[in-house]
Amino acid sequence: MSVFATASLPRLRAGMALILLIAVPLTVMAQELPSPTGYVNDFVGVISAEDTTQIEAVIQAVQSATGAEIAVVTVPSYEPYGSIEQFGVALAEKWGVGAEADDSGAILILAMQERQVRIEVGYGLEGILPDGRVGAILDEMVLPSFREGDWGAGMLGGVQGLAGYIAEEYDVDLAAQGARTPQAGGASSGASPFGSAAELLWVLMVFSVVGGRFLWPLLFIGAGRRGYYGGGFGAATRGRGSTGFGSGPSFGGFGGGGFGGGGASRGF
Amino acid sequence: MAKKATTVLIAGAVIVLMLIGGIAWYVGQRNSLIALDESVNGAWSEVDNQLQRRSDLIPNLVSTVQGFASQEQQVFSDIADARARLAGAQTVSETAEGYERMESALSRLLVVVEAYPELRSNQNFLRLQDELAGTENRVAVARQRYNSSVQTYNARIRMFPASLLAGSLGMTAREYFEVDESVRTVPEVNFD
Repeated sequence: MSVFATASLPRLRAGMALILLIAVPLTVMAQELPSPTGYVNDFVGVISAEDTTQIEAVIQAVQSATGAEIAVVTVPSYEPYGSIEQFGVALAEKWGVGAEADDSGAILILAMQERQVRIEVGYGLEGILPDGRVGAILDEMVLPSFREGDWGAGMLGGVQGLAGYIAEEYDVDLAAQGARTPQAGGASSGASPFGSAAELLWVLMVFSVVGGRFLWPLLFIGAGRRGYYGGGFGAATRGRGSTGFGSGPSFGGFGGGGFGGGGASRGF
Repeated sequence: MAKKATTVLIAGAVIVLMLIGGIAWYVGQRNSLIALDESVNGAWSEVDNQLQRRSDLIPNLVSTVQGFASQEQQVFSDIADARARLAGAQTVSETAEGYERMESALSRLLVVVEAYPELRSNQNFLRLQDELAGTENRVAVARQRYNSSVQTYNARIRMFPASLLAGSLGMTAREYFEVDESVRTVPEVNFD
């Protein structure tokens, strides 16, 4: 509560303040969430400096080419949230990963104690990264390394997979920066007996994503959605400089993208 | 009698100011109540949207499972029933009831699936399962946001002074989307 009350209140009308006060107890307290230190937030300390550099390079390349942002997070546990999904969406909204205009953000979250990993996908990337594809990225590019205890390599694989699809969609070539897509892929090949069903599925997914994009703004008419969610974070960092942030003195926060619970999770 | 004229003038000015203030207050309150009402509607359409998205996934899921486990008729008909009930739901509580039925039918489907190793390793089924899990999560997020917007709205229209206006605008307390969480837990099964 204290985090976004201090950060956002100046920007809010009194009515919105009321909404915050009442809404917060229902949405699990936000003060349990860490603040971001950069694109790679290794709160557990399991990603080597070398892997961090490589991961950051891929994320930087994606960010400058497309505006989409990817964050990597390791936490000891997702407590006190009930599941990695609940933790993921709360963290994603608080950090506001992704460009605000098109909600193009994704977060890779590793909860060590529960041995679970999740990729949280922002609204704007749900069309390119439907849950099935994200699951395939986890299965083929993240979990093999995780099972060997190589957290850095797994995270790098996940970021490369996300970058691969994002680059494909925005029609930029980031292969040299390490962007790639999984071998089997999320999209089904024609050889599959359920090829047409899967294609229909993609169409449906796109429609529902489009539907969501149009309906969603209604939710916060007159209330200033960005003040509540993503934007609150951006304002905090801009307003107070980088005080309180550990290793990223130049890190100015994420763009303010919104999330609605898309993505996939795996235990390992 | 210049003094009396001044007094009348001041009294008149005060009355005019109070009137303007009163109108401004009324318009402000009214608009913010309407905005809150719309935010509840918006949150509800997101819930509806995500429930629809899940319903759209189900034919694919069912046909994939049927390819491997066609004899499990009971589960398929439960799912069809729940889907029809959801589609016909008119109120929040009817939707919540359809949602619970669907949750429990899908839980049973996933238990059934455990008995078919071929199906569990089928790529398409894995992707569909991811889509389903993702959509469940989106419904949960949308539901939580809807409930918190209802909470804000209900508190606001019952509190003075907005309560004075809410009645004349025809605003009454909105229904929460309440679900019995126990339907989500998949029962333990043992195939040994």
